[in-house]
Amino acid sequence: MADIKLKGVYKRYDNKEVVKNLNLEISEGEFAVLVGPSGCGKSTTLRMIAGLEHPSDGEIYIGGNLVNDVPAAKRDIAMVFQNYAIYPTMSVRGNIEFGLKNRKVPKGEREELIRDVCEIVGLSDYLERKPGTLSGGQRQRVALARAMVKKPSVFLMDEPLSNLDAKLRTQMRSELIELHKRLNTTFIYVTHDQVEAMSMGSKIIVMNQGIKMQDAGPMEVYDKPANVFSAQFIGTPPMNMVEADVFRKLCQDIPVDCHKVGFRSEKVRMLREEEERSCPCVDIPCSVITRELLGAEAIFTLDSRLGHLQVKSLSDFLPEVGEPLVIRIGLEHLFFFDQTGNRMDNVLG
Amino acid sequence: MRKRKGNGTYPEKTTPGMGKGVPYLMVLPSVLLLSLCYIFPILYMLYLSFFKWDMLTDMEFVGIGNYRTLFSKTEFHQVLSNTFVFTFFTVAVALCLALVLAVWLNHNSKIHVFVQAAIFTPHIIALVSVAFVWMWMMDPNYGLLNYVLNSLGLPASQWLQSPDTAMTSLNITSVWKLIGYDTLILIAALQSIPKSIYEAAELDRAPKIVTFFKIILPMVSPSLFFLLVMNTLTMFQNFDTVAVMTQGGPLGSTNTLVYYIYQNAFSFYKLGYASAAGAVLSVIVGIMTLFYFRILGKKVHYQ
Repeated sequence: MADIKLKGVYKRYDNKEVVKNLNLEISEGEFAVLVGPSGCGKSTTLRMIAGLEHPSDGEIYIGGNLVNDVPAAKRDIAMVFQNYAIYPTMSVRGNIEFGLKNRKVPKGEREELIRDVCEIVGLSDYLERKPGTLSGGQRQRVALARAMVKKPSVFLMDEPLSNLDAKLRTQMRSELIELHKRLNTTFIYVTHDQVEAMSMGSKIIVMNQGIKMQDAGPMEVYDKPANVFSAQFIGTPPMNMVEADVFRKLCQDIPVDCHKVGFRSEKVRMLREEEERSCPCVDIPCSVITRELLGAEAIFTLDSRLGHLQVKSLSDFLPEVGEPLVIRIGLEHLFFFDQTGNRMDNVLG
Repeated sequence: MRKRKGNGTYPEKTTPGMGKGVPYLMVLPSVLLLSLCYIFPILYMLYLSFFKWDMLTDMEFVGIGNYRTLFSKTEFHQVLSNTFVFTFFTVAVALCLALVLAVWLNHNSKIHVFVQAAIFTPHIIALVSVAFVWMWMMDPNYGLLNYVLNSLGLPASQWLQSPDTAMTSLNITSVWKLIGYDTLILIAALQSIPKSIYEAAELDRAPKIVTFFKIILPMVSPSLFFLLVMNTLTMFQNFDTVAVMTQGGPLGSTNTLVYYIYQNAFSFYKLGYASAAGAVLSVIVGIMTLFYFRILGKKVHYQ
C-alpha cells in the first residue's frame, strides 16, 4: 500500500503539451479512476506513474518517495495493459511466474503464491494452457493474476475492460471492485467510460486536453460538477446545456453573471399538459423528435424554445414522435456556469 | 442461400445436373499441368538414372550401376561433404547475423530506415552479378579485399584461388546475398510484437537478455523457422556462385551437388549418372525437409 502524489507534472512531445500542470493526491487504498475522452492525457499520466514515460516537468511521489528517477521495475507497482500484454509463448503458469522468477523468489514460495492468486481469479484449471487457447475474459484474468502475484503497493490498470464484450465487462467490473476490497491496495484505473468510472471509483479524476477538470468522489462529481466539461462528461445522456440568455426568457431569476444553464436529463418530469406547480420550477413546452425505448427507461430527444433537449424517463408516459408535451424542472436541479465554464452556487434551489 | 431444415441443419449440398465425376473434371487442368511440369520430370529423372546415355547413342540399361559408381567415387563423397559444409555455414552465419541486424534495425529513425533499405538491395540483384562483383573484390592481385587487408597491415588472402579459402569465400558471397531478405523478414516479425510486451517484461524486472531469449525469440520463431527451411533448400541447391566464381575448383574444393550434376550432364554427357546424382539430391532434400517439420517444427510457437 502506498499513496501517490503528483506535483505540477507536465508531459510534452515535440512541444505539444499532453499533460499540463497536473496536481494530484491519491491516498492509500483508494480506487482512483482517471477518466476522460481519448487523447486527454489519462494514459500518459498512468504511464508516468508506472515509470514507462518520464515527466517533462514536475514531481511524482509514491509512498512519500520521489520516484522521478526510479526505473519502472523498482517502483513496486504492477500494471494491467489494455491488450493484456500476456507473453504468448508461455503457459498461464509461466506468465504468472515470470515476474517472481526474476525476483528470485524460491520455488516453493512461488508455487504457493501462484496457487493462491489463481484461486482468486479462477484460473486454477488453466495453469498449463497457452494464452492462445483462452477466451478474452480468461486472458484478462491472466493479466490480473500476473499483476497480483507480485503483491505490488500500487495497481495500475490501463483500460483493462475495453477489449471485452458488454456482458463480460459488467461482470469483471464487479469482480474488480471485490478484488480491490480484498487486496486493500491503491488502484489507479484509466478509462474513457464514465459508467466504469462512476461504478468503480472511490475517487474520480476527470481530465480533458491534458488538464485535470475535477477530482472528487463519484457522487460529488455527479451532484456538484466543477465545470461544464465535468457536468457533460458524467451521466448519460449528457447534461442538457442551454445559453443563459435563452433560458432567461423562461425564468428571469437566474443569476446575472451566469453564462450557461444545465440540467440533467433524468431530473426532468414529463407532463401531458401544464399542471399546477407544487414547488419552484420551470415548465418548458416541447415536442418529441425521437424516442428510444430501452425497457426500464426511455430516452427522448425533444424540440423546444431552448433548442434540442434530452430527457430520460422512468415513467409509463411514453409520448409518440411529434406529440406535444411539457417538461418540468425543479429549480434546485439547475446548474449555473459562469463565463469561464466553472459552476456557480445555485441560489434558487 | 440454402434453407434450413426444421431441425436446424442444412440439407445435403446438391447441385442439379452434376454427376460425381464433374468436380474431378474441374481440377483436371491443374492436375495435368502439375503432372507435366513436376511429376513427369521427377519420374523421368528416376527412369534415366537406371541407364547409360550420352544423348547421341542408344540408351543402355545398367540397373543400379550408376548409383554404385556414384557412392564408390571419393569425388562424389567430397561433393556431398562440400554441399553440407557450404549450406550449414552459409545458413547459420546468415541467420545469426540477420537476427542481430534485425534487433539493431528494429527502429524507425532515418538512419535505421536507410540501413534497412541498403541491406535489402543484394536480394534484388541477380546472383550472377553478385558473384561477378565479389570475384572482382576477391581478386588476389588487384581486388578490393586484399587492398583493405594490406592497408591494415594484415596478410593478403588467395580467396577463390586456394583450396583452403575458396569455400569460405563462397560462404561470404552467399551470406551477403541472403542476409537482406532474412533481415527484412525478421524485422517484420519483431515489429509485430506489441510494445506493451516489452513494457510488461520491464515491469516484471526481466533483464534485457532474458526478455530477448525467453519472450522475443520464441515470438519470432515462426519466421526463423521459415527462413531456416527456405535458406537451407536454396543453399543446398546452390549453383550460380559455383558456376561463375570457381567452376567447382580449385581441386574440387568448392564443387557442390547441383554443379556436379550439371557438369556430368552437360559437360561430360553422362546423363544417366547425373540423373542418379539428381535422385540422391531429391532424397536428401526430402529427408531434410521432413526432419525440419517433424523435429524442429514442434518447437516453433505459432500464435
